[in-house]
Amino acid sequence: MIHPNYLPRRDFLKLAAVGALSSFSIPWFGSLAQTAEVRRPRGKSCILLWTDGGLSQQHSFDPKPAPFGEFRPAPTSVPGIHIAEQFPQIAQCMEDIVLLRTMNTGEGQHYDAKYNLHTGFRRVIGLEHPCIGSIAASQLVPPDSHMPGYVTIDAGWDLRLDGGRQYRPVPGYLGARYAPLAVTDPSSGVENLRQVDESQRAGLDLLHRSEERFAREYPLPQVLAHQSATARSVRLMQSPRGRAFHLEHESANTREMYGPHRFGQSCLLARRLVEAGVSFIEINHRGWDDHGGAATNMALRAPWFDRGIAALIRDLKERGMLEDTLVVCMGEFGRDAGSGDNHNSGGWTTLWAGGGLKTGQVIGRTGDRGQIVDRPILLGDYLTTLCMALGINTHVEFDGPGNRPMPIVEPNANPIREVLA
Amino acid sequence: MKSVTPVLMFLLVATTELIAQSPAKHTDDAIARIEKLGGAVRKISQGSDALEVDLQGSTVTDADLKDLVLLKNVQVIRLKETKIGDAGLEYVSKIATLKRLFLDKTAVTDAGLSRLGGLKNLEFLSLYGTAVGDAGLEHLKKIASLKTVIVTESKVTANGADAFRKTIPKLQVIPNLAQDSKQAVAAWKTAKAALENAKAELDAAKKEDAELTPKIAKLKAEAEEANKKSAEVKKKADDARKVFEEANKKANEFKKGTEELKKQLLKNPSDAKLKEYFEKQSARMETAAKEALPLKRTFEEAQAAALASMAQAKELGQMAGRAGQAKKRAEETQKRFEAMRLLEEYNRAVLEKLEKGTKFSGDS
Repeated sequence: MIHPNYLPRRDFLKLAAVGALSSFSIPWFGSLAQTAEVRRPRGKSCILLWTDGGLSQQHSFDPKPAPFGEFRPAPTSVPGIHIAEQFPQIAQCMEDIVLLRTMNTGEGQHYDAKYNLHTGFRRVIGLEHPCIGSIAASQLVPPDSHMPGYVTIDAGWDLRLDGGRQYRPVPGYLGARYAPLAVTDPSSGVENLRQVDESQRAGLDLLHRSEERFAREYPLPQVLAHQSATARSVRLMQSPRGRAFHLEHESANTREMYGPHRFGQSCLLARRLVEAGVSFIEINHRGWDDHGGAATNMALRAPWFDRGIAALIRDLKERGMLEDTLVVCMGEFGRDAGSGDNHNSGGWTTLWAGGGLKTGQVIGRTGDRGQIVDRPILLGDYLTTLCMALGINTHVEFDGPGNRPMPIVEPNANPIREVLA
Repeated sequence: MKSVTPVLMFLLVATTELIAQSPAKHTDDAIARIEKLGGAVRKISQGSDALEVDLQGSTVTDADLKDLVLLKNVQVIRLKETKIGDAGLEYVSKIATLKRLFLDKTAVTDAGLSRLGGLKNLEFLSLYGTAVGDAGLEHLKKIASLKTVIVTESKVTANGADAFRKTIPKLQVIPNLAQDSKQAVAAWKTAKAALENAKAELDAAKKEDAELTPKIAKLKAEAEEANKKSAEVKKKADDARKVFEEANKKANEFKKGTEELKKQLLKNPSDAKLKEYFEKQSARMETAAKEALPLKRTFEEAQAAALASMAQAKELGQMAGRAGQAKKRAEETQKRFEAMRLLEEYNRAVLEKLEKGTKFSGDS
């Protein structure tokens, strides 16, 4: 018997309905469920560009005039909105961007902040909350999809490699099925992911049969999760959509548009994966913990960062994909006023683009010294807005350990309705 | 379970096969058939009955689309990367509620688009990667509700897109070469300004480096000297303060004594001895106050001198510190300048490519 703990409640009911969980099945009930039910709402895809260690908002998307800031504010394609002059291509995409300038998340330690921003919850003993990528995969991906719902791409690091412990995205109590597929190098895609030939097919069949027998006799959650993970990988190897992982199918022109930097190439891979049906892609670029001053490091990052993000937004737009794809760029917090020497969890910026949001606007306002003047955005507000933007039903509850109902997001949050269309 | 499952499976398969063979008659049949083709029917959002039919990448053919009319309030149809051609659009044209239509990389042609003229709610149409050209856009001019039309990687020319854009108010035709060029110019100007600002900062930092770095030793010595001097002056001021405070304390004690005597005198106004003592004490009080006054002035002057000297020492200290950092700052500024040079080069390249008429994005 499958223990229901590891399945979202609704899926549990569905499985129960088609008889998978019970030896007593009602024949007509299954077919009814299959035909009459209109599937859950289609969600959007999300590309999360994670600047690990803390992106300085004053050296990027919330610049301050001298003597308060070090980078000059420059006009963008939306009158009245200014960002640092170091990001001219992003500035020209402003009509497709929303800047949330008053993130107020109250956690200045790297690891805890990474955990909070990925899960929407504070860390507790004895329980690991699922990360947003796994939540999206569990809620948005059709169960029979050939593609993994959640892919992480390691875009490497430049300049420095501090910024606290790495956050490892976990599905928590959602189960291993929603763990991310990790791409460690965007230029080589997923290792060993090539089309299957006939000699391999026999081997895979054998593997499948033995796995099935084992799972039948020992239907533990771990065994089933492993079985579904292998099944997914094999499906991916057999599917023509596996091509999505290989950048060599992309034209030289397009690859050039995204720039030669690993970050840009990761953005390009993310676009290919969205096209192929992946719901959530997280690109992690490390080492943004600019102790000692952010100015030089931010200037050094600007050319490839500006180019990669702008290329991604434009490319999605020109392919008619921008409305269905939300791009979010952020770290675990921002940096303090002036030089950006230290962490700052009150009054930092996240950049959101596309996703059918009301773009071309700024939410919240900070003063010359970076203090929040208007509309603080709390952790729950941010994650609830993200879920709503992706079309995830925020009222769903998961079964946590010990049959404890776990909400997807903090129930009392105040989503940013101004950005939701 | 073992005995029931095969029977159930057979029933399911049999039912689905039956549905597939005859034309769909009901909503449920239509949904089942779409799912069998590898597609899905979904609600667009929570609490709305609007539907999306997603057949992207499926095996759907033109004839399969005749089932669409059985679904109510379909607002989105995704046919990207399918074999759909002009004949399929005939069925799509019957979906009056349609708002968004994806025909990316399908076989539709200019002629087929003439069938979409009746879609009075259509807002978004993607023709990405199709063989549609300028002539096809002619047929879309009647659809006043259109807000976005994607023609990237199609046969549509820049002129054709421009002409079409003007026919419907607020219509976005993507890509928009004129707008791309405008934005590329704006971006390049910003990058150029960033480079110029970085250059100015570099020049200033280099100048300071050249001026201050050779003088580090001298400036440090000067700062130390000033520090020493300021410490001396401060000690003088502290001493003066002590002398003044001593005198002030004495004056206050006399004042307190005098006031005490005054109170007693008020109680016994006829006491001559007390009166004499009071007057003597008053005189002492005045003398002490007079003596304290110049000491106060001396202290205040010494204090001002000390503050000035400390400020000077601080300034010299900062100068020495700046000199010590000048080399590093020049190096950092140099790095920022190089970065801005890369930024300007890239932004110029984008612009040049656009001006040459080759698009910077999309497949070639």
